[in-house]
Amino acid sequence: MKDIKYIALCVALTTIALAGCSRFEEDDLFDESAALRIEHNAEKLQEILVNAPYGWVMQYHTGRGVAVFEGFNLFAKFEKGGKVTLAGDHRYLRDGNANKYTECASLYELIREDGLVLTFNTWNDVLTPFVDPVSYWAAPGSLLKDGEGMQGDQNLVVMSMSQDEVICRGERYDALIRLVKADRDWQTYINDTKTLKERITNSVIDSYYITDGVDTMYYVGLRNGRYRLSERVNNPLRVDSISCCFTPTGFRNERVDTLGRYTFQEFYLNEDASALVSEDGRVQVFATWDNYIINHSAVWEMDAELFTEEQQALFDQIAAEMNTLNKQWTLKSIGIGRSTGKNPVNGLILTYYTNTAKTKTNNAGLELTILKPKSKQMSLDCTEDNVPDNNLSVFTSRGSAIESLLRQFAATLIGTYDMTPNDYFLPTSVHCTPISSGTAFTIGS
Amino acid sequence: MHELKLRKEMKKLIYIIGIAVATVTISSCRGDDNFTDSIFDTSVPAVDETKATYPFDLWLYENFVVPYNVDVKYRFDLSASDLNFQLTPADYNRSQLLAHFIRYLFYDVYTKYAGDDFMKKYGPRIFHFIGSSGYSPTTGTEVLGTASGGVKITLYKINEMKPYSEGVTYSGDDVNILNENYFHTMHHEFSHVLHQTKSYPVTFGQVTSGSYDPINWQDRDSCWTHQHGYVTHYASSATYEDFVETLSCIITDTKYRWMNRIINAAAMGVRQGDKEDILELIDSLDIDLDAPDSHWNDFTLYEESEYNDQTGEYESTERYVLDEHRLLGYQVVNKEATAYVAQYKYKVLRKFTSFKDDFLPWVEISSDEELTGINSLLKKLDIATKWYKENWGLYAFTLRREVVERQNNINDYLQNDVTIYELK
Repeated sequence: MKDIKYIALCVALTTIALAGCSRFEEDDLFDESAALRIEHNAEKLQEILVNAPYGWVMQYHTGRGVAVFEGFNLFAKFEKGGKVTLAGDHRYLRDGNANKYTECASLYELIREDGLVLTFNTWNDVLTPFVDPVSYWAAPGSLLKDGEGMQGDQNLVVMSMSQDEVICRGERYDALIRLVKADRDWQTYINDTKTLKERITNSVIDSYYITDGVDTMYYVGLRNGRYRLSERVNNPLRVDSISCCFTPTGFRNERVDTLGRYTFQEFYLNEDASALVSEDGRVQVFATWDNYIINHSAVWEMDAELFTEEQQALFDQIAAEMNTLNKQWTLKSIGIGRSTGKNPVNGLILTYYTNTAKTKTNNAGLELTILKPKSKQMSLDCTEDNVPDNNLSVFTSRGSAIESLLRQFAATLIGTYDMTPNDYFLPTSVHCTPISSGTAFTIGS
Repeated sequence: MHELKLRKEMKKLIYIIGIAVATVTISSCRGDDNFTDSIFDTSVPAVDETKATYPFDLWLYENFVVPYNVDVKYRFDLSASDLNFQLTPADYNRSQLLAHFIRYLFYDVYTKYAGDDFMKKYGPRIFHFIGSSGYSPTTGTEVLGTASGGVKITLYKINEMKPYSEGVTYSGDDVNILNENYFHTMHHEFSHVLHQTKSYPVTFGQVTSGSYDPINWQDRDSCWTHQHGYVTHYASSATYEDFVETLSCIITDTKYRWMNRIINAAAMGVRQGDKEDILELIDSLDIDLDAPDSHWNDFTLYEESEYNDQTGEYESTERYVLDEHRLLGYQVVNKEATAYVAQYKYKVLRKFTSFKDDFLPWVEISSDEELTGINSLLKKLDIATKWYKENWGLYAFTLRREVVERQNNINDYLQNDVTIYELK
């Protein structure tokens, strides 16, 4: 019995001793103390920032949460002695420099707080106007104090760093700011970005689908660099305001977002320049050019070269009828769009010259039912319920067969089509390939 | 026997195990830490030659750190700033210029009259420069400077200063802006440091004890504050602010402002003996009453009346105001609520062509206890300057004279003694 006690005592002592040691056997979360890590991170970041031949592109955002301003592309060249040269061409530059490329040298510092903070701690003409507490609606022409300004930050808390990218967060307002190592000189970057922006945005079509193939939302107003995310273009129930920075290859949102199961932040123009695709290709952004084609208020003229024999014959007969009505009239084209004059219709439109010099035109139209069954598709239909506009009615009242001929022409087009534009961001012509019935045709402005 | 032997063996075994366990435990607790030298580079000199700001940092070291043990923080420090305000960093060029002016118009002045150790002993330890003002959108007020326990003076609005460029000159207006934005604040804050070291007499606060208002002082206009015995409206917020404002105004306020203040404060009447004291004050302020083209020999006083929306009549506010104190832009809804009308109306009371020979004889001598104005102002000036002299050996009017003389020579100073460095 006593032996058992001794053995038990030995086992207990050994267990306690080993248990006391076991806590030292856990894997360390960090190899260094917090102070050392911050110090070494500062040294590392200093090296990263300084060793950039073309400096850095700073994708700068302001404010907290809902975007009030667009994202701004600033440029930074860091030097070892604490000097930084910042550049930009944004609209809040002062002293008559708004929208003009401007460089300004000032100071930066890596300060050690709870983490590492990159601070631009003397005034800089390029960056500090975003921080200055003056009314943004009056700036830069007038500097009215309002105590808040654009809610920009000059103290950037470093969230992560690599050789090519430093992600920061504004210390006061929380906006995410990204520094990415520049791969070209700043002026080239500005020019390339401008070219890309002009390629994918314009004032005519400024709404975009964002889709993962299942769910679709809309970006409205991308051209401004601050746009609305909504479930539909007009009268949306939910609207988020998002800021982005344009890049030479696309654009990048301030924050990571999700659609369905997919996460995205940056979009790149794809090879055939038909859409912008996210990092993993799962999410696409493309312009609502199909709506533009269908709802275009002018007339898309059909390419007569692609007419079928039947269509060509109908076209010739309409032309002859028109000449019968008035010797000076000459049929110019048949197109799809909206007629002008009294009781205008959306449909198949005849455009004709009204003088022999062919300097003046008029049009007459037959209503079509034009729908978009799916994105990038168009369906055309024409029944007895589709009415003529006033001009076409007048032709009929004068005994002309033009309306009847036009209805026959419309019948050749009834069907559903896949649309392929010549430009996916601002098309000037679209080729329509029939999916069910109809005949292929091309329309253009 | 066998059992005894076994027990002894067991005991021995336990001892061995115990020693082994203790050894393992102790050795495992010893750890592998190998303490090295400081993680910080202690070989860095006081002024880092590798910095882009080295020439200016060296100048600061020689002109502030060594003689006064002062750290001039021209780099914005968010964690050391007032987070109630959205603030911007100061411009590097302007920071350098202001540092020179602080040396020339502040440190050198006190050092000249109070000795080498005075500023080293009582001066602030830190200056923090802020580019923008501490603007509060709710009250519409701007913080121009703050002092933290005599240790740190924070100066705002640096970026509104005229910047340095080759051949730059400072006009009288530029100097006035320097005084209003920085040096008035600095003397104000430094006076706080002094009275926090040696208390000022309680009698100072008793002179106008009934009318301090720490909440709504900013709603008082200059005319009101002068006619109630205060140098500025901020002085009417609390006794200690009144005290330091009084000293700071002596040192930095222009002749123009002082004469307006005196006329305003005396217009409603003075006590017996006040007129002589006024002339003495004016003399101490180095104001030449006979100076040509001076506004104090060509001014108008107005009687003020305010619209009463109950009666629809303008009723006297019982105060006389100078041209610049007329509140011409204010409007109120009329009695019938049909239109806006001017809130105040002004009628010319009298034009004066000479302060000494026209205005002063015209001012009535009164024994009205309600009448505070110039009498209170004179009393407080007397208490504050005596305290300054007795406790610190400083004569406020002498400091003023020195500051004014230096301001008059500021362009020579700019040309000969100021070097502004570019970032290298």
